[in-house]
This record gives sequence, C-alpha cells and structure tokens, in this order.
Amino acid sequence: MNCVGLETQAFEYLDGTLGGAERAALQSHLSVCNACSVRLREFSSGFGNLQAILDAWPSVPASRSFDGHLFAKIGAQSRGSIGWWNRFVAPFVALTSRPAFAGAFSAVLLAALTLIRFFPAVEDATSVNGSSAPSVVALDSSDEVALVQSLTDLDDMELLRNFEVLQEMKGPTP
Amino acid sequence: MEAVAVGARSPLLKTDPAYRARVADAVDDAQLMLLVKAGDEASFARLLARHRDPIVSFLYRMVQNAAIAEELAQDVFLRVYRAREKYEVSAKFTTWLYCIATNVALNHIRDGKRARNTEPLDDPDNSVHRTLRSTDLTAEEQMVENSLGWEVRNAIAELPENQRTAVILHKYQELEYRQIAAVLGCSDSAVKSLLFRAYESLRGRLAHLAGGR
Repeated sequence: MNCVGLETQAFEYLDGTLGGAERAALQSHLSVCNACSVRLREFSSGFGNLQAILDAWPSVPASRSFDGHLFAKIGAQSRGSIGWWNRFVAPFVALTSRPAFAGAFSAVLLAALTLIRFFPAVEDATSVNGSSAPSVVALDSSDEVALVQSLTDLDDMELLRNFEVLQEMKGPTP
Repeated sequence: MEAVAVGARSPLLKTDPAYRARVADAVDDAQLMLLVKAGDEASFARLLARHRDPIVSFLYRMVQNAAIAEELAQDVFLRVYRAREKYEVSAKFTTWLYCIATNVALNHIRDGKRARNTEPLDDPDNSVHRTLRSTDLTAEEQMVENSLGWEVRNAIAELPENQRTAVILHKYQELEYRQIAAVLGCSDSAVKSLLFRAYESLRGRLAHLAGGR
C-alpha cells in the first residue's frame, strides 16, 4: 500500500465497503503516513458539505418542442437515405407482401401456362378449317400419303447418313 | 414480476390502460431498444420519454448552454435511432447512451464550437452572447446566473476534461463507477482516483461557500 492507493480506495474506505485485507493495509499506511491521514480526514469532513453545495447547480429539462424536432430530423433523414430507385419500387414491394397479390400472381401464371400449352392446337384447328391465315405449312391429303410412303426410307440407316439424299427428299413431290 | 403480482391481486384486464402502463414501466431499456430494433417506433418514444431530460441536463452541464445542449441531445437520440439495427445487449443501455452523449459533448467542445457559441466563463457580462441567447434563458438558467449555482458551474468548468466528465456522471447522473469507467474508457480504479482528486479540488475552490452551510 502506498499514497496512490488512498485515492482509489478512499470512497470504499469511508463507505465501509472496503474488504478486510485492503482495509487493514490502508489503515496501516495511514498510521505511518501523516500526509495521507490528513488528506483523508479533510476529504471526509468536507464531502457531505461539498455534495450539498454541488446540488445548487440545477438541471435543465428538455424543451416542449424537443420530440417534435427530433422526429422531424428522423423523418428527414429517412427520406434522404432512400434513393430514387427504392422510392420507385417501394409501392410494388409493399404490394408483394399482400396475400391478394400472391393469389393474383398465381392466377396469371396459370393462365399463361394454359395458353402456352394449348396455343399450337388452336393454330392447327384454324388452319385445317381455313378460317384464318395459317402460320405453318398445311399438308393436303396427297402430301400426307407421300410422306407416309417416304417414312420407310428412314429405316435405311445408310440413307440417313447420306445428307444429300435427304435434301432431295425435301424437294417438291411429283 | 410486479405486473404479475398486481394482476393476481386485482381485476385489472390486459386491455386496461393502467395494466398496460405498469407492464410498460417494467420493461427495461435494453428490451425497449430491442423492440426498436425490431421496428417498434412506440418503444423509441418510450425510451425518449425516460432519458430525454437526463441527457439534456448532462449535456447542459458539459457544454453549459441550454440551446446547444438540446441540439446535441437530439443528435444523441438520432444516433441511437440510426444504430438501432446494430444494437446488441452487451452492457447497460444507460452506459451505451452516456458513451454516445459524452462523445458528442467532447467532440463539440474539442471542435471549438463552445468557444464560438457559449458565454466565456470569465466574462459573464459578455454582451454579444447575451444577444445570441436573447430570451431563450430558462427559469433555471436565470436562477443559476445570479446564484450559488453560478459558482458551482464555474468551479466544475475549471476542472480538467476527464475529471469534469467523471464528476458530472457521478454526482448529477448517478452512474456507477463501472459505468463511468466504460464511458471514459478506463479502469474502475482510475475513475475512483479521478473522482477523489476532482472532489478534493472542488472542495478547495468552493471552500468560501462552505461557511454558510
């Protein structure tokens, strides 16, 4: 224990909360160090009075407009921190969180898949009936017979390997 | 705990405002801050209601100007709000709050704003500053300017920065040694030593007032 230890242990010593061994060490030091003994006595005797004097400096409460100004700053900062893209997509993002949006999105997706699945069949039907301009080459009955007859040629693997022969087959049918 | 006991004794319903007020008071600051983190704006308003006046008072004593203290306090709460998403319960909320407030105050003082905006302590009749403050003086400030409080304020202002901060946190904000140590970034022993020397110094400076008490 030395003179510096007095500063760190004075509060607990005076409060009576300093541990047994530390208290004994400090008392031992005070018994041999007159400077520390006087210093502690003066500190102790004037401490209560000093606290009362320090109480004379009153606190200052916040003004009534404090919260209003603060929330205005928070609002301004929140608006400033959001970029133009985020502001643009924000309504759509908010929309996606609603259950109705999920239902509508599923319905649209289902309708799109249905159209994709059945669209070619509709085209074939219209072309056969001749009610609208066909978008694919339509075959008449004689062409279909020629095509079925030529299918046997596909069994010949040598013919398949010969690309030129295949090219000739694609020519106009007699 | 208290809310449960009250609920068991009396017929208070959970929808009763009195019951809800009791429950709200029982929620500690860290829990409120976690609610703020989760997006509950009402919890931020409750934290503000609890700590608004102590923080303004602390900053007033640090910078010794009510208008600037209020502005800095708003900065403190703005920082708290901005930091809500990163908040973790690692220490007492008040320790964290006073860390922010102390940094804001010391930065303000170090930036020299205090010298430009506040009344020099050795020139209480500074006419320029009186014009700046105009009618903003609160009743408390007016009382301080002509009273014992004025001398206390001067004596504390003359302390070294770390001693002044430690005294304000200990005497006026009633923080524990451990909390003050966390705010100042030093050990508990160093805080006790700082306070011992600060109070010794104040006792000497204010000795002439002790006779009347």
